[in-house]
Amino acid sequence: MATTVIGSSIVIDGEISGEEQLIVHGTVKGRIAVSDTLVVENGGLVEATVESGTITVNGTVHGDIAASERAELRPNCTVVGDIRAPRILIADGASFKGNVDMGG
Amino acid sequence: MATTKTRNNLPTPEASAEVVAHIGAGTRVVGRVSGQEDLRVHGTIEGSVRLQQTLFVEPEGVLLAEVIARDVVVSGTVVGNIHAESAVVLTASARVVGDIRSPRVSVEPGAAFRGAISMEPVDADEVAAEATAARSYGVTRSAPARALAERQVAAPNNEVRRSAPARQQQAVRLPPRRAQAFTAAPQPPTAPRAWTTPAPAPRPSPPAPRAFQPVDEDTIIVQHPAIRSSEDRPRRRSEPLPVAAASEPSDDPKKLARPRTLPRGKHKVERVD
Amino acid sequence: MANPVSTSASSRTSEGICNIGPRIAIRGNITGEEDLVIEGRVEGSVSISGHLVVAPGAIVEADIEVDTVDVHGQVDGDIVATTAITLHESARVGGNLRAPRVVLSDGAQFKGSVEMDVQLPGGLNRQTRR
Repeated sequence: MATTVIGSSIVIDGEISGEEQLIVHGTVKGRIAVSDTLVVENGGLVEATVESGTITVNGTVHGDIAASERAELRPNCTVVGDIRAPRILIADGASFKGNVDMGG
Repeated sequence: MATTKTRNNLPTPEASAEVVAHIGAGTRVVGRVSGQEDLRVHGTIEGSVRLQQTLFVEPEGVLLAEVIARDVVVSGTVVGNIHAESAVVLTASARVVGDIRSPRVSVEPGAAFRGAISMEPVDADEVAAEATAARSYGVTRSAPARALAERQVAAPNNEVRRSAPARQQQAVRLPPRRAQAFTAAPQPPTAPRAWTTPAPAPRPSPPAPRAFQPVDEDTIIVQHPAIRSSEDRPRRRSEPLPVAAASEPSDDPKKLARPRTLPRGKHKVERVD
Repeated sequence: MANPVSTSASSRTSEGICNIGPRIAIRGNITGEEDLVIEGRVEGSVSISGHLVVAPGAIVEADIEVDTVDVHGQVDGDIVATTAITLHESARVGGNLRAPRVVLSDGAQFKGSVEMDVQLPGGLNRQTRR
């Protein structure tokens, strides 16, 4: 499966949609709708509404997250926004502010 | 067709070693050039070029003209639109300003180009029209045309000689002349005339005996005055292309004293002294 | 915002090639300072100070501003490069190109204008149409 990598000095202002794995090291503003996996790396900034299968956050997300499978917030990440996912993991050290909905 | 194509069927500058028509480095042609075989330009052409084969613009060649050909390989300078049926290749030493219209275009690293490129299929009608125009030069299309054809043809009236010595700067070879009507003394294409015109003075003020009367859309070949004498005979007669005359006052070849300047791109004859 | 987003040259190399995969569609503006490979679809604008590769199969409906670009896919939009633009065999480009160097490989399809610096032999400039 191909992987899309958004480098750290890249800024995307708009919508991203797709069916493959997306790794964000840079900045995305707008909207992300990926049916596969989304990883926001350390240093990545996402100011967007996110919809994906699985989302793993190591960086910063400002916006609502909707994962159809699982949402994982790793240590040192920062998330501000609502999370909606059937399975959620918030690791120690993560910074999170928002609502959680596991209703699926 | 003589051209040898290589590299994905694109014409290359080295192709067609036995190219027949050749405009030498010191020659300047002003007017319309047309023909049915490959042409290598080392000199200058101003006006328009219509070929049914390949046009090679050598590194020292300068074309200030509209070009319509089957293939065009540019290694020199072209200012004007290029319209090719098959392919256009701009090599590393090419300098082109103008639009290019061809199904295949190749711009090699080092080429300089400014203009639009259109790869849409050339309009069939347009091409047909051009082709017809080019071909009809040899066909009896009009007196002048014929006359011109005559000129182009070897004096002995036979078909155009294919390989002209390099020195011969015959710009184009018209199809075997048809009407002998004018025998205007075929420009001695055959005669190995060295048209090597030094072309020093681009526009010789004075008497530039004009080689032929430029008939509308016919070819003009510039000749060095030195050769003129031998050509004189043809010229004299050829002059009269009556039709041509229509547009320009036919002048007695002998008198071609005044340099006549015709609108660019139109029949314009000039002698390079 | 905790993390400064922009650019850090150091982190740039760590991720390797920045790549937009074939099944990703981006609608918006992309800006950045590193090399980018587009294999998917981008609509909007791309402004990268680096090397851009438009892979075969990619569709970019955007104006592109880059240092160098290698186009193998489809581009609908103007391309402005500070160094060179290369259209490869499978490229299908509609738009204007502006760069000091432009290379059109055989097989590339292009429609639009090309603007490079053309140094004409002396004396011809007066006749230049453009």
